[in-house]
Amino acid sequence: MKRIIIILLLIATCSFWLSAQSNLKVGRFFTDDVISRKNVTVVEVKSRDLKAYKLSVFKSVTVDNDATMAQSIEGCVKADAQKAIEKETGLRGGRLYYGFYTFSLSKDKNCYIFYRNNLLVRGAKPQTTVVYMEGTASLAELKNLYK
Amino acid sequence: MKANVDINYWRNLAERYFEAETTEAEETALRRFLATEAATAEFDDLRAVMGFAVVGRRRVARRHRRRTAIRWAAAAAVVAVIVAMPFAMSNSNEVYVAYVGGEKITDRDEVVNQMHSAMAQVLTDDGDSFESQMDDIFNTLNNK
Repeated sequence: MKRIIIILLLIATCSFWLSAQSNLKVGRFFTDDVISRKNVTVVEVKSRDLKAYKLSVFKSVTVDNDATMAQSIEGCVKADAQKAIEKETGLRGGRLYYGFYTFSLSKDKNCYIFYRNNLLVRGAKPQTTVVYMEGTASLAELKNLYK
Repeated sequence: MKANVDINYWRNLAERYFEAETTEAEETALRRFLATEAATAEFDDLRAVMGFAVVGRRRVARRHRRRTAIRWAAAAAVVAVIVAMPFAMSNSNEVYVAYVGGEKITDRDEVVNQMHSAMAQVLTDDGDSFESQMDDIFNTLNNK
């Protein structure tokens, strides 16, 4: 029993070290307290069906008309963006309007953050969306998905 | 007299050895004594047993090391199963779930629709509307 506990502790330590490198701040928005909010839509898909898009994981959080939460999301996206290996961004009034980022998870796999804050655009539907994906697609391929 | 005392010392030590009462240091001393001429045929039994004991001790130590290694390997195998199980189970289970205003949706088509909605929202640039372009122009002018 002692041996099992020692080995589990060693694995937990290693796992923490390994996962810390791919741990993104936007992950905090895919938690129970966000999911339960009335002005939030959360989507999670893990399926072989996503292979058509060269993806394996899709998660999104869309917040309706919430400037405070939008600011919080923006802060996390900007912090995570520092680790991005590829990015495309746009500003509005000095604030981050949209951002598309690629992060390396491993030699063959990436993860992505797509972000848009329509609260910064007059006349647009007042939503802030952040999308997290994993896969092997390029940024260009993902951006062209809905064209 | 001294030789007798010495011999009595070793006899006593030999007896204690057979009673398993000797320390390691005493056993080492005894083994050294057995290599001397003073250790006559009287100590042949001891010589035989100590020789066997050395071999036996090595075998026991090797067996002990093997048992310890097997125990660690068994523990590692148990841990590997415990750690791998969630991954194996999660890989076989697809996930389609959405929460809209706190309400859970698991209908696959509906979840996929929500997924497409989110992607469309994040990829579509509503900032090209006339009002927003005018805003940009005025904001730029005001900041100059």
